[in-house]
Amino acid sequence: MEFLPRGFVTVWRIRLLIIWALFLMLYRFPVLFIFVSGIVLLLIFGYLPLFRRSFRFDIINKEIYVYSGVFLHRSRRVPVKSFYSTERSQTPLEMIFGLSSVRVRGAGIRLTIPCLTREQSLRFCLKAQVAVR
Amino acid sequence: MKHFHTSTILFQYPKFMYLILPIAVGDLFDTGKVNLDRQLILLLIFMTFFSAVQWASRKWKIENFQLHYKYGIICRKEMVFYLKNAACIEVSDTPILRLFGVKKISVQMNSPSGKNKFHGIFSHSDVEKIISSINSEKLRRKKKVTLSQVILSSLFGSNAALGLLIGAPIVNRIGKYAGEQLQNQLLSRWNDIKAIFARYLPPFFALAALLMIAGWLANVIFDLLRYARHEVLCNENYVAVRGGLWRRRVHLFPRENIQGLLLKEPPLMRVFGLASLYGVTAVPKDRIGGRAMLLPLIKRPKNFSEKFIPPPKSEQYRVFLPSFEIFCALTVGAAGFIYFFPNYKKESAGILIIAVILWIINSWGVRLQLNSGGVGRNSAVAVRFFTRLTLVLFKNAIKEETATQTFYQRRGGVCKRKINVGGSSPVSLGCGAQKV
Repeated sequence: MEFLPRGFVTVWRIRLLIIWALFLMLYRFPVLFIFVSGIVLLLIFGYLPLFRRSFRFDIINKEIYVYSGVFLHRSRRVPVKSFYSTERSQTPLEMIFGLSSVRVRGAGIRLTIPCLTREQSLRFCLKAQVAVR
Repeated sequence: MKHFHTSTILFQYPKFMYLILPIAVGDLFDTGKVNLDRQLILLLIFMTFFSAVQWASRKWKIENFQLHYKYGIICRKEMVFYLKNAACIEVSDTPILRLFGVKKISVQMNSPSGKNKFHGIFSHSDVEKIISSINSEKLRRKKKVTLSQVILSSLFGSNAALGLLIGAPIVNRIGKYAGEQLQNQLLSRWNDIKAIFARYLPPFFALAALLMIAGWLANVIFDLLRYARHEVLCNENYVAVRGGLWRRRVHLFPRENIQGLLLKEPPLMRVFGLASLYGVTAVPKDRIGGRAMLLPLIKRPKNFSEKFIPPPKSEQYRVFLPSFEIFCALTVGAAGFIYFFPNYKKESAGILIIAVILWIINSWGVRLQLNSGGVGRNSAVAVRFFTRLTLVLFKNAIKEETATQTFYQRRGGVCKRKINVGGSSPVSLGCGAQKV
């Protein structure tokens, strides 16, 4: 089983901070500011590390297994045979940290594995390509 | 990995930009008459440059039935399309593309949203390479459609065209008669506005009729351009459709991914014992997928659905469309209206009349029959109204079959059957059904 890298938390912390800064620029109501700041801090220091720890995935015997969820645990088993496409993408922020996200589309399937390291994403896509053959 | 053909930039560039750009460039040198904002002009030119660089950066390769596609400058993306699971692979060219010596390839996956697709412009040699790597076996011609068959199917084919043809003179006559009556009887008594209205009613109906006929003729011409030189080819793995006059196209459908067959019998075709045959892929909203015409005009096969689903094995349902529920709701509504507002009897009567009409249409007009073979077996849905449609869904396409029953449906002894067909989000055929 593979886990999400540490970079996942860093990237998402930066994204949330950017959203927070934009919010501060647009709205200056004290009550709303405290409320939004509280949520952002909770996500940054509470939810994101927990999410990273709970998220696991792997390709075993032509099937993808994904376990995730902080409050509600969810496990998915997706047959690789019914894949239509796999997509490996990099946003500028992910590029700086050497990360990339993988998206899988198939018959009734829409799966996203965010912020993997370059090696992890390449390994995942290669495994999927071999399994589909 | 290889780059796309250089002309891709020309063809993939947004069409509306071709209209705006000359104005923008003219404005930049103060030669045009329209004065656009300088910043807007610079933005347009930057967009053009960016679009060109972005398309120039796109690369592709094909190996082991997998199409690898790389693109993006700011956000980099690398996609792999698994061609074994493609719903349709289309190779097309228009005279303009032919001028540049290129062809367009579109790969459509089974996604109903139509988003999961790839398209690009390739040189002839690249197209041959791609097609030979997908399909190495030779396609044999099964059927060739003559021009007369295309014209006949187009003339009788669509309900709209037939309705327009029959409806146009009637609408014209009635319009003229109504207009004359209005002119004769009302001109002397009513005010001028109504007189003008009466005078202009007949020309309006005549214009409507003319537009209808023009629409029908346009439909015939479009069908001719689309289905001229239509051929059906096949081998063990693929079914292909080839044809077209302006835009020549070849559609390759992997046999495994054809979801079903659709037999369409418009009223006039039914009179002559004819029908049209379509292949169905689960891509309803997209141009190249959804429903592909296989044969525009064939002799109606006897017991079409029974050929795929033997009657003793299938479960037959007579289907009640939702108008039955609307009928009940409207009747209850009308009764309530009369009870609470006795002054509105006319309105209530109107609601009741609508309900009765709906009920009649539901009972005698539309007939929908579901021959359910269950998961792992073929299923068929037949709809009979003006046009009879018989859809046979192949067993490999049916991913799930569900039956649900609400409290109200339970009392009436009916249930709702859904057949989920393969696709990124399942396509469902839902209807209230009662076992025969």
